[in-house]
Amino acid sequence: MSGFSEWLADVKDVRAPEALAVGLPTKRVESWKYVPIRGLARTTWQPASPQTTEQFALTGGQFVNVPKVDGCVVSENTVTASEQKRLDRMSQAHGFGLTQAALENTRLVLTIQKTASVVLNLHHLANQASSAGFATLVLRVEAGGQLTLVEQFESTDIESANLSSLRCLVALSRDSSVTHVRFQAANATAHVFSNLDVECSENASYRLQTIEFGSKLARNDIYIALVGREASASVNGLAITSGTQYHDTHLAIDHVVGETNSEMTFRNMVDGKGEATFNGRVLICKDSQRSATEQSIANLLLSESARVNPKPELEIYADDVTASHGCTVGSLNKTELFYLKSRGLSEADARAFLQYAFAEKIVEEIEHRDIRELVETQLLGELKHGELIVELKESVDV
Amino acid sequence: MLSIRNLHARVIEKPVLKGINLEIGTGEIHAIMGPNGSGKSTLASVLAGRDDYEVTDGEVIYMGQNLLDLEPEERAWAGMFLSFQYPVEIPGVKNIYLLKAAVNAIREHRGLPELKASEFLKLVREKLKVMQMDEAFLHRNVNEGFSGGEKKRNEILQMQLLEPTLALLDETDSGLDVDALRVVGEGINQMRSPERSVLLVTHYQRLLDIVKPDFVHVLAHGEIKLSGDHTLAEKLEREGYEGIEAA
Amino acid sequence: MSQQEIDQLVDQDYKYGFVTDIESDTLPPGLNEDVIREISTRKGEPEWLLEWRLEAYAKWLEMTPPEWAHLDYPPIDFQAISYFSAPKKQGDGPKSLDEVDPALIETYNKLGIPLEEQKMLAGVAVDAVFDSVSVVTTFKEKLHEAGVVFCPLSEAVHSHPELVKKFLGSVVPQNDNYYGALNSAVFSDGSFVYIPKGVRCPMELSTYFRINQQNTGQFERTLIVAEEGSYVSYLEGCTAPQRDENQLHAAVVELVAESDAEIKYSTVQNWFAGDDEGKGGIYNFVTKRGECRGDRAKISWTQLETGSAITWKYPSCVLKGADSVGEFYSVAVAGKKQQADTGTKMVHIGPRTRSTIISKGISTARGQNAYRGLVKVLPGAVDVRNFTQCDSLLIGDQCGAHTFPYVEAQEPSAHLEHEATTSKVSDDQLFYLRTRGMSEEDALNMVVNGFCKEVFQKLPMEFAVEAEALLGITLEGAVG
Repeated sequence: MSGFSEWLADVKDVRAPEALAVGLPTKRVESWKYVPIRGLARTTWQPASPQTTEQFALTGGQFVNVPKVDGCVVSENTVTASEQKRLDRMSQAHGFGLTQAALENTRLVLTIQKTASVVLNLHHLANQASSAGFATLVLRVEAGGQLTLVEQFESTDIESANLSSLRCLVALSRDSSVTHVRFQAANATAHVFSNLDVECSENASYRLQTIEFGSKLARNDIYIALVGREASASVNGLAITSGTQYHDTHLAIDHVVGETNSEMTFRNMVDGKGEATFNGRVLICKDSQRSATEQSIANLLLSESARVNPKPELEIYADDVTASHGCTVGSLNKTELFYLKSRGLSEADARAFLQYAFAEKIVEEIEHRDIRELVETQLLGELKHGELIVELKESVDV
Repeated sequence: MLSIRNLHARVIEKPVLKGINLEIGTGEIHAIMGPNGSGKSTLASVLAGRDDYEVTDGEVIYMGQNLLDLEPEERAWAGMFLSFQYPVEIPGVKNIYLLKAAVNAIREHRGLPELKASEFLKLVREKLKVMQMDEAFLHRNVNEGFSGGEKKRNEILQMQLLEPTLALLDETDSGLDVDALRVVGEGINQMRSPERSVLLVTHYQRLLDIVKPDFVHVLAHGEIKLSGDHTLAEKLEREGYEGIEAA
Repeated sequence: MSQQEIDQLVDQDYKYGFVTDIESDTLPPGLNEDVIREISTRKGEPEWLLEWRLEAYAKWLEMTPPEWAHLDYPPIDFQAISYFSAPKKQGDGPKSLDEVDPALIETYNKLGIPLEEQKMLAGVAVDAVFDSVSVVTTFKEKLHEAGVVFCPLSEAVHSHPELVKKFLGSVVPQNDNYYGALNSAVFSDGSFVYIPKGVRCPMELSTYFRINQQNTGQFERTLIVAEEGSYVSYLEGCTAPQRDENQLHAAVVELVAESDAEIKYSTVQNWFAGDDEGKGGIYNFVTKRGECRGDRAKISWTQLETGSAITWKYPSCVLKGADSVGEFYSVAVAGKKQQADTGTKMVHIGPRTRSTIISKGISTARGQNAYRGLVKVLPGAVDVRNFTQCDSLLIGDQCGAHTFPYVEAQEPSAHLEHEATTSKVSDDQLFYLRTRGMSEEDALNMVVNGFCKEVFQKLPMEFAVEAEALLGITLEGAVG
């Protein structure tokens, strides 16, 4: 029995019976094999209700205060056939996809007009205990348009399990670009689901910077298709997992045509009884010649009970390509620790230094200054003995 | 200042140091020379407290304290400094963070007040000048992407800032071109003082032309085979290590 | 290099495609309990082994074929396969080469296997498997002196029942996986090796396998036990004749290494790969696993996989003993329409256990080559080290190279590193070699050999030569 059974039985959506029949994915489903699903199944989920706020926010599965800015138009709530196809693919990707589709509250379609430059700040508000919100955001970026999408999570304490799910469809027309920054610092009982489906046309570029800090359980499914020549995608991610948190990112990039580029750099830092999973798959299709892809995954285990499951995959069907991946798992480097200690740093400070350095590789890449500083503050707050670095930053960074 | 008595150490079951005896007095400069694999770098690492080596016998007394009981950071607080043969790259940590954190950690243990940011920057700029280093070095990650020469200069820069009472310089001359060698050598000379002792570990004599040692020791097969003044280094340069190794 | 030229280079007929005409004693196709009883009866097995087979069969019935591999093939009709075939016996079986069916010897000679003098001169004992029953065993005496047991498993069941009973299924249990369970139910024969405490096996042990009977599944089962402080190097090689229908091969190999023991297991696999459309090739579903049970034990797998239409194979090491070592060195070639999904599992259970994985995948024509590996570190396995490198080489634009490295780490002191690259043979490299006077195919061969060198160096000397030649044949079309 899934924790959504009663809700699914109530809704009219045509996919509900199937979602009900399929239920939540089990560990037998390859892409869900590490996900601790029990918390989801234990709660009897109810629809969340929206809260009042001044900001552009996602709350109770609904978008509120959609900003009125030049170059950004709220389109009709209907999707094109090809968008529907991509949504269907999301629904079919795993058992939970159908539930997400069937329980969807709202859908928002935004069009970024030709050559416009738009910044959107989306705030995710926490849903109430035992309640869940499901929403879909469709972003159409017209030729030459530029969009910066920043997602932030409110971290108000909620006494028990709460859930928020956002399915996001992004279509980049030729020569457009999207910078997408996600800073997930949701409350400690939150279950956060993010499904992202991106399509890049000719010479379009999509850049994602995603930081996972909060929530009890977070699952990201990211799919990027490079369908036009010279299209490129870059994904930088960091998950800081501690306590009994579970963070999971499944990232897939398809090089559908040639002369496309992708790059992914992901870092997991796991402490306490935390567990982090990262699955990065790059597919280079037949005839996608002169494509290049580079993956790098680094994992830092900080405690006896921390667990990490990294898996960088390559599927290559064209020969004139450059593809490489690297993956490391380890604890703090002993030689580096020794070097710092030989310069007079205490063991605790040296450890904090190295953890900070590990995360900083990803954080320093965030172009959005406010978010970068927010992430750094949170990061340093999280580190045991992070004070020294805070102090150093304040004193010598000019 | 430093007294090494019958020091034995091994790496993974393999003995590397087989009874080292060495006395270093205050204000003295000693050079340890020897062929590759003689145990030179092991000696420097053991003194700095690297735990890849197991000390099986002997003792080391540093300023009245049993050195081998101290953690690496405690040795640093007590005024010891190791210039690494292969300085460690630490991606993500700015050089200036390390410098300031280290300077203040050591000042704290010497009972000195913490340096204010402005004072610290003034001091660093002074030392950068001595080492002929650009200020941009401060904002690069520790040793990351540095050339061999830049790394060694960075080590001596750290030494200048930390003002140790005993400096262990492990193969500081390796990988340096003539100009860099001169800068590094001058950097060391500038630190000479009646209160400070230096132990230079080197394979070649060329650094010793700039930094004249008071004593030269030859290490082979884990033992000091020969000791003398700086003329011994010149003799070795001419005649090589063969004669000594056989001895 | 043009596609046409490449096609010519990689395209050649199976060198060993012929059928030996020997009367066979074959069971009709189909699988049920009666067939298993019949196999057991014909082999004169004790009751406990029959029970063991039936148990496995019951488990197999409840299992489903694995679908996670990067392989595409029609469902196998397990009822269309015959599960037993033995060459017709003359008397009680041969006691020396002279007594062996001359047609068999002829087959070996055609294969270029120096079974007779060459092997003896080389000091290698040969336990040749023709279809399913071992018929030739040489150099037994010398091994006997050393206390080494090297015989067909079917013989060991009678001569060393306590050992077989103790170790059979102890590394790969009956229900380990679908094909392993099938093998446990119907296994035909294979090698049994037992190296007593402190003994260094005086020669390299070698077995040549060969599929000969039409529609006959080949279900080899090999068990190697190395007691404390012993050493053995075991070589396995196979070739198969050309066929129109797919043939199923589901072997199981179990290795047990006690404290300070070392087992080196080398394979050259050249089953028939099928025609250009993939028709007629062998389906090779193999379960190979070794357990380092004692401290400082070492198991090393080295393989060259050039044949089979489908390869599904993950020679693995379970590192239980403290400081034990697992190694996997592999070259896998997928040409024609071959599909390979191969790799290894390194399971670190004991403290300070170390593993190394070097995998080289070569894809040509329409071949699909996948590396699939798992490095798992269990809690308490402190200071574990793993280094994994998997490189793929693509020759031509119709083939594919894939990498699926799984890591499951539950121990902070673990230090794991994984590197992978995918590249093609560069035109610059070929051009450079050609300006030095090499033909195009020699140049290609040289580049590919260089790519594989790290792995070939791990093969026993005489095998390495064979491996290079085989790779050359696979790539060049030149008759070696």
